[in-house]
Amino acid sequence: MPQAIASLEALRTRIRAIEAPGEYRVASMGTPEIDAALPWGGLPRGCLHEIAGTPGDAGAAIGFAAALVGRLHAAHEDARQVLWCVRGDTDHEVGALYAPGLRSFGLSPQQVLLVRAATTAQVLWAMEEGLRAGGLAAVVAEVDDVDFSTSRRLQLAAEARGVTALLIVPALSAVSGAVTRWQLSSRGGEGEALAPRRADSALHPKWSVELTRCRGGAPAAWEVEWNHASNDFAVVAGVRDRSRELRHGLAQAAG
Amino acid sequence: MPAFATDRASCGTAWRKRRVKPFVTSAASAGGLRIAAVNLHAAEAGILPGMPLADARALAPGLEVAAADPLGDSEQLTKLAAWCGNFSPWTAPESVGSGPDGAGIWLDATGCAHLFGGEEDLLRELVQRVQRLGFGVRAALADTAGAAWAVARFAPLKDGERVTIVPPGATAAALAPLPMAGLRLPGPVIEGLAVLGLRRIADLMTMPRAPLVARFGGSVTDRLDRALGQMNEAISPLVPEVPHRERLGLAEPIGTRPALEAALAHLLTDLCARLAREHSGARRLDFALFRIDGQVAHVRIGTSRPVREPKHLARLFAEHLDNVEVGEGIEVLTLTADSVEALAADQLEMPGPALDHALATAGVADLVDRLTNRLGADAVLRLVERPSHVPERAGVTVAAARHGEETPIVLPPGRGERPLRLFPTPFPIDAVAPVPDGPPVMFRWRRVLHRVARAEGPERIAPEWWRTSLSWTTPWEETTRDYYRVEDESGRRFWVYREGLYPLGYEPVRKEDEDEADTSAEAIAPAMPRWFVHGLFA
Repeated sequence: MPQAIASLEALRTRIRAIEAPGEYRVASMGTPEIDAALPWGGLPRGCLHEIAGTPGDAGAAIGFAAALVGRLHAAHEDARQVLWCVRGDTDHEVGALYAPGLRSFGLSPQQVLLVRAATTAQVLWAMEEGLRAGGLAAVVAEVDDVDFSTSRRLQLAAEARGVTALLIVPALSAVSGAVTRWQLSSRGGEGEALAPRRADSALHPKWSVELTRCRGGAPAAWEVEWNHASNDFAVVAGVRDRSRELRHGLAQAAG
Repeated sequence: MPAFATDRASCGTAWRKRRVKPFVTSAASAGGLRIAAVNLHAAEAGILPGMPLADARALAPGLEVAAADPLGDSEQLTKLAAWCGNFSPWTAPESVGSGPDGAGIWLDATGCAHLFGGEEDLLRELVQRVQRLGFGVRAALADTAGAAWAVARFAPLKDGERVTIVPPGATAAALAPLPMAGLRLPGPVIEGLAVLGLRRIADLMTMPRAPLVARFGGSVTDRLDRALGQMNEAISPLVPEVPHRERLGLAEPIGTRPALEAALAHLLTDLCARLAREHSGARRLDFALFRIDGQVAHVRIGTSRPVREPKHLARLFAEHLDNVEVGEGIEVLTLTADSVEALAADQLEMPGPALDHALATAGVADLVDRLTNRLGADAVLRLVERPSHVPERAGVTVAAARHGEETPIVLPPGRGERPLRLFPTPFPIDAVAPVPDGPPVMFRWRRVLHRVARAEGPERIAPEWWRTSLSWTTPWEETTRDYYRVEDESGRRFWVYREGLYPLGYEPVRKEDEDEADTSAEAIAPAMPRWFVHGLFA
């Protein structure tokens, strides 16, 4: 019996080791609320993060990825390159990465190296090459689908050279090797319906951000707004405000 | 190669008959089919090029005939000349002729003979190898190209010896007994000389020159001078001479991937050591694999900056080695740097941020090379901003491998005025705008109706009048765009624009008098502005 207890203890230790968040250097997200929810005290660098959009709303996931890369740049304080891998035939679906738009996320277009591959396999190959090459601040890839072994491979490659990897997928799969997984959807802002043109857009990107899985941490959700001027997030609502959806649902039921 | 055309047509086991029997190629000419080229057996039967085919059939009843293919002959000769590149870097095909001239390949053996153990061994090896490919061949080496040409064709065969070497200084003696045709003169000139009783080259050497020039023009004396080395002769080589070239000859043919990699590593080490001595780096490399069946496979790579690191170059080649057709094996490999640029000696930075940055930059350049060589130059891009108000011109992509030709412009950080995603071509949408100069209240895009919750704008962007590429016939009002940043009820943000302006005094159609308005609209038929989605905000 004591032997059984001892082996149980050993098993518990192993599970704790697996569940441990791991040691990473971090980049602050710019808001204490989100930083506190992550066990590392910020966004861990040199590991894989998975970001999913909602169907018909790929813009939020891509924007969140651009914002995270912008945060990495702000934290790293250097001009290392970012590799952004997409499939070339998605230009008509979600549009091509646009240099003047990147500047709104604290990224200089000169820092971005764009790969337009023909197939998803090539996108993943380019991503892994970039992670293994080192010398990059981050590698971002937009793919249709990724299986567990591929995401595990990418996570190991990211850890090996300390390059942050961001994987944008249409929907989160059941299992993944990613350290954190995020679910994104767009949120409408408040304010006047029609505003005159301003140099400083009042249409800040506003998203509902759900941290669905985080190694060594608990799931959480926020409503955040990206501030172009200060290049950081601002949490608008800590817990997800469901009243709006509820209202919408009621209105639909009534109409 | 005295019977190049017929040899080429009788390569392969299926055509064994053509090698043991009289065989000719024929071409259509005025007055029916005539003989173009003959093989040895046909020549023995007395068949000559230019003879009507019917006469030839009478001379040799079992005659084999094929259609002449001068283009194919010429192609094959060029290939063979390229293959001879494993003996000397300087090779050139001659024009394919018929008759006793056959076809030939020039080789400049200067400085190459020692690699094969001497001039004679080089020629023997060459002859043996070309014969194995199925071509009858004779080789001659002389001080001048003209003398080698004449000796290879017209010197009498001694005991079946196919290799002749004219020792230095003995050119005149070797040429003297040869027939006049050895001077590469046109047929009528040779006949004219024969009428005068001049049949051998020796006869010409003692002749006074003035009457010859007066009668035949300068060609006869020029040819003689060239053959004797008293006048320079220029031949353009197949491959321009390149200084950065390494060659590896193998005792046994290889074909496996590890063997190829080892050979490549050997060549790369030699080439890079030489590049380092010359303070230069390669931009373009050509790895040529000479197969034993006379084919040459090429693997070419390019780099985005001068490189002389064997490891990096080997990685770039590794992508393509799987696709190489090795055939029955590869016996000679050459590695040529076609394009070489200056590259200063590496200077290591002091440890610190500067070193980190230098290492990161080098790592990214290596990565660009690897991605470009696998995915293609148009798949690896850099984003570039240009000073323009027209959205399509403001952000463009250029191939990363060619980057560095234009200096990037530095712009202030964005404030959300431009979308993260831009469509290559704007999508037309059905939009409803209650006010002529206002944003839409709803629009249909990809069969989904979006109700606009918030809008910002307009931002008017007119075409750049100084660009003449735009049509001047299109009125300014129709090509001017009013951009709006709009947000639909679910929070998605779009960049939409209206192309053109509503005509003056336009009243939006009201629901109740739609029918009436339709007829009046047709009567006036104003050019209605159209709406487009151009980009997506995050």
